[in-house]
Amino acid sequence: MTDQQCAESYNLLRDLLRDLNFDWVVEQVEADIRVGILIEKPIREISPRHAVESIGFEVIETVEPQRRGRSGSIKQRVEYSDRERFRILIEAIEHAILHTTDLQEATLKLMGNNQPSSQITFEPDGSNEHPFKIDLLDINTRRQAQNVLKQTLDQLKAEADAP
Amino acid sequence: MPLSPAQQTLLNQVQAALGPAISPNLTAASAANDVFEAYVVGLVLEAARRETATVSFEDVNGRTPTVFTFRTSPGFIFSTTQNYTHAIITFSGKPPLEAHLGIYVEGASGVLHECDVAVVNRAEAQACRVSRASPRSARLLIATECKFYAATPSLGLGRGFLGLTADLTVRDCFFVMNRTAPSIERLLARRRRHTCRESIIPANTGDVELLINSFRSAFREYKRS
Repeated sequence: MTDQQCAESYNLLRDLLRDLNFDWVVEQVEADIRVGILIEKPIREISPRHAVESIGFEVIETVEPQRRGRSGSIKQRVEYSDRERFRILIEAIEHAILHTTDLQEATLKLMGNNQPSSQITFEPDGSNEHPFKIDLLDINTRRQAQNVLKQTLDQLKAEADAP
Repeated sequence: MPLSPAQQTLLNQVQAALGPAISPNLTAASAANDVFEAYVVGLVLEAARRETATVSFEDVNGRTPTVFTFRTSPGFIFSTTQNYTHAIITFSGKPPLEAHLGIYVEGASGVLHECDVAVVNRAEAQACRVSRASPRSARLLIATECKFYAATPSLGLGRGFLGLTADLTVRDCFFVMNRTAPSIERLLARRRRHTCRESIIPANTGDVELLINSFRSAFREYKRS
């Protein structure tokens, strides 16, 4: 996929998640994208006496012998590429939909001492949240669709990684 | 360059697969986090079993539950809004413990804090249910903050955890996430009493075992005390 194709695919998936009431996934992904990637860069602090402009420090980009001055490092923010953003969104879908099912199944098993309990209910304690339950029947009903989703997302990741 | 027909087909397949794959119960972020917390409770119990504890369950009325019921949001240990379930962990020759999901605990300052997963001295828990009080953090063996995120959790969550643990006099505090968060991991790395565990999902067996072993260490320390 080209960057443009990744960007278009990102938008399509993002809109799809919103239609399915997964706005929180989109919000978390976009918050993550806003932070960007932080890359550690070596720096050298420049004394104002030696600088034409009082710039405080310079980022060392070369391996040439350095002038005297205190060295350190800073975190430089770099934007995610369209390809990386698309990847982040795909992984978020995996966590929000595929991994939550795995968590449900594992929880039922752990609570039952490795013999699965059939059901666990979650009830609000005085709040306005909605109660819900997790049960093996629901998990098993969705397994086939989840397997298809996983395969499709894996193919999408491969497409995103291809030039 | 627009999407190729093959790429568009792939996206259509994702769209077709998403609907049937989703549990209608679990579209909210809070529900996903609730399940994650219950999973971590399960890992605590697994750690206890591996340290030869017996594990049983009871509800707030002292009865054995037929269906496990957990909270969707933190509540009081003595609450009878529902027959909330907790686990009883018993090591031979030691006072029993209880494992709770989502209860308020009292910090050193007297302020009540939400504790996602708490392992507390059972005598303290029983006294609190009778007195309608919250367990004191000094009576906790394990306190765990659980964060389930679809994307990278933000640094603010780690800062919040530091604030929480500054007021909790609990032996072992854990920050557990399903994702990796390098900034949080670095923030918490230098704190001796705090353990940060990332990538905690069932498929990541190595990371899950690390967390179970951390819980086991806490239980071994308790057995030795």
